Amino acid sequence: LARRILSQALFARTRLPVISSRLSSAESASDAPSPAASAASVRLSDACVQQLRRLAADGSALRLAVDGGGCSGFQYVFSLADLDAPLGPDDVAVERDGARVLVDAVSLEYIRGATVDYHEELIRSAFRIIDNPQSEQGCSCGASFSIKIE
Amino acid sequence: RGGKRLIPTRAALVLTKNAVDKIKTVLSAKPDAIGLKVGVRQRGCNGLSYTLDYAFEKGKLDEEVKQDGVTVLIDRKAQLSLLGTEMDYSETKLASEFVFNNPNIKGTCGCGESFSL
Repeated sequence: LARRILSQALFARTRLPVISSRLSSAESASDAPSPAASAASVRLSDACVQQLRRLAADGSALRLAVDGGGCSGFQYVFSLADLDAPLGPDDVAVERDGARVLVDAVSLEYIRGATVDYHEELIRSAFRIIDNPQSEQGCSCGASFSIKIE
Repeated sequence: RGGKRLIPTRAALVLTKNAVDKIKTVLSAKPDAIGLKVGVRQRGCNGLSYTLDYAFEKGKLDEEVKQDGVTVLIDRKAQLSLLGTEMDYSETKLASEFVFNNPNIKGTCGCGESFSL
């Protein structure tokens, strides 16, 4: 019996670290994303870069955030930020060809791997997030999405 | 005179000055279009959403709205749902879009793109 308990305890011990290490790696990623990793984590489309350059000419940068709300649970929030303002402690700047997008570390986790695009149509032209690997399904307008739960 | 009373008829769609200016700009880049065509289609979480296209000819059943030198056609299927709507154009650094202020709608989606009647 003692051996059985011991083996179970050992089994539990070997399994636990796997889970906890996964948790800690996720935490450390959201706590302190390295600039190099973050640059690869959100892509900027060509159209997006062009529009961002237009914004930069006025001294503005794009700030991207994810908020609760919308018809699918989460929504993307686009706002303007000062181009020359110093980076906040939680902020990550994604840059490409002189274009700059600011994302806070918490929001970044929800849009990792996605592409920021500037979509121009007759009826509307606006920034949008496309190909978000974290989103399960979205509102048709693309402003809101729900998170994929693995 | 007589017993005749005049009742002003309202245009099915009213354009704001911003909308007129933008439509003029848009159409000057597309000389063969006679105007823009507004429609609705089944889409979005609230049922309907607006569509906007170049119009190259006037369909038999399209409603024609002429205002300040621009022509906007309303698709047959959209005429009832658009009646009395004001079409505006708003431009910010983040987005530029045509906005429809529709008195008939009961609800909109969070993004304002889809609506229900």
